[in-house]
Parts: sequence; structure tokens; C-alpha cells
Amino acid sequence: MQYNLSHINKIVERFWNGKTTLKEEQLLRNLSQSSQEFRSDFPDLDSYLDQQNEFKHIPVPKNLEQNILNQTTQPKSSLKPILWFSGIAATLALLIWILPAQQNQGYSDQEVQQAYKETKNALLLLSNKMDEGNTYALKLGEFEKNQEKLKQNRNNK
Amino acid sequence: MKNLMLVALVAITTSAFSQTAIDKYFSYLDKDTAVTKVTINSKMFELFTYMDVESEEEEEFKEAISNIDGMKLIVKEDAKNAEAMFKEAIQKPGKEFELLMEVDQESEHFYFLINEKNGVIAELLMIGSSDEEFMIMSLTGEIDLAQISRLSRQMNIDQMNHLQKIDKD
Repeated sequence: MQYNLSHINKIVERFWNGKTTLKEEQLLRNLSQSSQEFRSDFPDLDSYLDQQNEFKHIPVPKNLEQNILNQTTQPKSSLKPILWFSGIAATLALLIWILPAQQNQGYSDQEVQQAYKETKNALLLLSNKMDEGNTYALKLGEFEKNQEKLKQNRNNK
Repeated sequence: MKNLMLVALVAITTSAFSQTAIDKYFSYLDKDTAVTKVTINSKMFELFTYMDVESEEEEEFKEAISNIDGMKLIVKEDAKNAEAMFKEAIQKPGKEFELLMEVDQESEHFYFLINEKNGVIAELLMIGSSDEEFMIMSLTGEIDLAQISRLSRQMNIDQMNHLQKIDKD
């Protein structure tokens, strides 16, 4: 077979574009095995075809196609549709519960400490004033009691 | 499940949009730029419960606030018209508020009002003026008056200057 570089070049180009016929691919394989010129002109294609040749000897595992199909095809769900629906509803309910809780995480420790301090100061002021009012109320109660005692003593005399 | 979700949504909506007396009756103070507003929401009160405290007094304080779920505060310092502000403010709360206690002492005036719902104090409102300071405080949740009144004695601190600290800290 005469080695026509321009012709071979066109076939090689079609090969890389995936447009060659089976006959043309066989021609390239033959050239790769027999022609030194081809190997030096197209070293990439030569090494590619070499690898392809090696793969030919690796046996294809049994049931390969079925195994792949089993792994890629989704098994049929055993869950009833109502359970799916409940699952979605439960997830939504959980999200509703979790989302506001997550908003809390926006506070830094420093902010929480500051808020605690301010709350404490405000509540202590409130407590102090209430306590003052209660103390006066108690004093007033005692005063009224003493007044009653004095009245009773006077009446007894 | 549908009912459960509805309950969850209602609970969230209620807590997010519950109005205090400050929102309802004292919004006219929003225009006053010299007024400081502090809001401690229920989430923050929740976070307080996770805080580590060292002293027994602090532990008691945490216990006292465990049933409070919100606090709003309006403070105005250097208020030349503090007494007039006080007199105007005590007229504002609606009929749901009852006067619990009134403390009048020299230049200090304090009004304590409560909003009771089903035998539980749901909101405690304090309106006060002292010299040139004016303040309104609202506490919401389940308020235990006796516990709050005991706080200052438990903490054993002179609280007279706390009004200033609130704003400056």
C-alpha cells in the first residue's frame, strides 16, 4: 500500500473529529502497526491506537451492562405517597421551627453581654422603685395599726 | 399535620408581631430625637438563659428574668420638661392597664401599671420622672411582681444611679 501523506492526513483529521468509517479506522490501525512513516508523522494517534490495542485484551466483565443499569436506574420507592407528603410537611414544620432560632445566632457574645447588662440595670431600677413603694406601703400599714392601737388604748382608759 | 403547621405559624406570627404598651401608646415619642429606645426581644432573653454566671446573686437574677420575654425602654436624659412628659405619659395607657402603685417622692414620680390577663400579669409598665430624666419601661411575659420587687434587695446594690447607666453603658 502506497503511503500518501495528504490522503492519510485527511483521514487522521476525520478520525479526531469522530467522522471516520470502520474501514478507515482499520486502515489507520494497520498503518500504526506496519508503517514507520505513519508512526513518525502521527505519534499521538499512534500511541492512542496502541493503547486501544492493549484494552482489547482486557476481558469485559460479565453482566457489565446490567450492573451499570442497576446502578444508574432509580429503584422504585417502597414509600406510599402519603408518607412522602408527611415527610415534606414535617421538614417544613422543622424549618419553621429552626429558622427563627437560627436568626438568634446573629448576636455576638459581646452584644448578648451588653443586652444582659442593660436589662439588669433597667430591672434593678424598676425593682428599686417598686421596693421603695412597697416599703412606704408597709410603713403606712404600721402607722395605721399604731394609730388603731392608740385609739383603742384611749377608749379603754 | 396541617393543624400542627397552622399552630406553628400562628405561634410565630403572634410572637413576632405582639405589641407592647410602648408601641401602642407612646409612638408619639418616636419624633423626639433626644429619646433613647432600648428593645430586648424574646430571643435575647432566651440567650440570657445560656449565659454562664459566677455569683449566686446573678443566678437569682437569671431566675427572676426567666419568665420575662421582652423589655422595651424609653429614656430621655436632660429633659427640662421631665415632669410635664411624665404627666402627659400617665394619661396615655388604655383601660386594659390598672394602676398598681404610685411613688411620689420630692422630684421623683413613678407610676406602675399592670395588664392582667387570666390572672397573670402579662405586662408591667413603669412610667417615671426624676429631676431632668424621664423614662418608660415595659416588661412582657409572665411577671412575678414579688420576685421583681425583691431583686434590688437581693443584689444589694444602691440603684439610684442606674437610670444614667442604662444610657451610658
